[in-house]
Amino acid sequence: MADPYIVVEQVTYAYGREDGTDGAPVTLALDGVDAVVRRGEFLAVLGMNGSGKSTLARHLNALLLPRTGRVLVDGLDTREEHNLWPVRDRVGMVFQNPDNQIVAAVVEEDVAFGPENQGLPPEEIRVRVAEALAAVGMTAHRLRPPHLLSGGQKQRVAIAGALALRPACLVLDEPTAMLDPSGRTEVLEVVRRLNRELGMAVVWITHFMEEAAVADRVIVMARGKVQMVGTPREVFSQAERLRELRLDVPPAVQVAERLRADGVPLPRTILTLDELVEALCQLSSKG
Amino acid sequence: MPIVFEGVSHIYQPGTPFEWKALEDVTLTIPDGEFWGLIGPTGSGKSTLIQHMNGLLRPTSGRVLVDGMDLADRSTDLRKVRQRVGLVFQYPEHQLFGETVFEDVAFGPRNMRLDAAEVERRVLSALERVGLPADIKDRSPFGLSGGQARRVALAGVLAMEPRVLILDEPTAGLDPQGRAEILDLVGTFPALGMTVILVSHSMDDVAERADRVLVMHRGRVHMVGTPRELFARRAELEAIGLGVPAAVDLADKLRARGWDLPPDIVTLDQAVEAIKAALQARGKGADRR
Repeated sequence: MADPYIVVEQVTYAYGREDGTDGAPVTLALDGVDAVVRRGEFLAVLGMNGSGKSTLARHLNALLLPRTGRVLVDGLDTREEHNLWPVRDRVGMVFQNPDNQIVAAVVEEDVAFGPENQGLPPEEIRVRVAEALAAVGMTAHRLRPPHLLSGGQKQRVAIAGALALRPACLVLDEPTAMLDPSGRTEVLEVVRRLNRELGMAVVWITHFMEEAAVADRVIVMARGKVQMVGTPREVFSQAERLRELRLDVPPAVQVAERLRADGVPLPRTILTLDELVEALCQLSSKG
Repeated sequence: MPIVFEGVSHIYQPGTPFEWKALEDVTLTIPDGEFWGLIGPTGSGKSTLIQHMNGLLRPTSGRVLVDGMDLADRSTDLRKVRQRVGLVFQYPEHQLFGETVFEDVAFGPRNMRLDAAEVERRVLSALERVGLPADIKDRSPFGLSGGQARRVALAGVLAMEPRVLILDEPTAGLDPQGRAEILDLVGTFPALGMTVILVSHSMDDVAERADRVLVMHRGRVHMVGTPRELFARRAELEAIGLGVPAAVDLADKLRARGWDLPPDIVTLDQAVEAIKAALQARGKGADRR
């Protein structure tokens, strides 16, 4: 596996004023988090509402800075002020609601927003916008107003906006929560392809277990701490533990688990419906 | 109080270049006390349809009748209709505004000009119904967790004691257990005589819970039926960008490999039972031990 691109070391974070003078009770949103994002990997982050996953995501491109501990992006400490823009050039961010992320009245102008802010020459901006739109399959829509696009298409425009800065890592915070099933598939497929073809690391935060099942690795958060780390197979084989953390397992794992409970000898490594079908067919053909 | 649509069409911004036919000749009857799932791709007319059910929108042509009252009739008291047909929008917690949970939930009943004792009774009963502890009533709604805030928003609608409850994606953004809790809760309402209409993107949720499913596509009623009837027509659903529940997918994959499974599997429970039965029939089941 590739070397770490982002290193999160013993990070603690609390919302509210640092000295506690606003009277809000201090609960730690992050409580001593250690985590790594490897170069080029697809990392899924799971956790119940309020578990700290969005807070962690916002630390990865210096939208939030650790109270204690540190975050290193490509070796750059996010707490150093002069590292702010170099960090944000390296790590792009896409949020849940596409309508809150689109700023321009025409798709290609929206995608150009980031490179323009970086002060790149117009020629370079044109090249990057064209590349980014092609990468998410939105070239044909480049002259349309974003509000006429579907949710999935808007999310692809938001991704193109991040891509135009050519980040080495893209962080997506529940990018499919507001989309219909075809929009969800569309966005997940685009991001998986970018991950494979550009070797861009992806941090994919989600409540959908089946989306996490396609990741290289999964991190499970609860109460501001990392509770589990592993491949999807390793993590989803611990159904009981996941349910304690208010999560669930993908449908194939659920069915396999219940059949096993009734004595059907199925392996614990089953993750997808196809694997389940394969295992059942083998079982039923054995003498 | 059945909800009846008779040839309803709705056109946004008619006569302008932005004219958009959101509903086209919709005819349907939703009887009392049933749990309906409403599904369809984005832009299929789901939101426009539900906004006709409590008079937020009026048909361009056709009629909507709620409990026999014609919503297009200017003499119909729409306030009364809205008390009977409660609508919970997406992310309803964004609309909380009260200083306390009590104030927030009491807003609807107070608007109904109920006396203070009745308002209090309804607020407490609504909070209990959504599974929140009574002492939450004095807290600020803004300090609650996402799942709690959503329950408070739901209680605000329940406090009007509607006969029909329409929920637009009530589980969006919730974690898996939060989703299950809200759906379990809503699932208890039909037994109390309340009609529930659940707008959902999740085929699995609809398959597990709905009595009947309405599929909208391009402003028209594409299909209506029980989950079993509907998911037997997989190709038609996929043609309009919708999927089928995992259980249906699993059963189809096994059938393609020669398994003889009953035709009506739509939930994971049914899939597990059918697989066990098939393994036993082949002498490979657990009970062979």
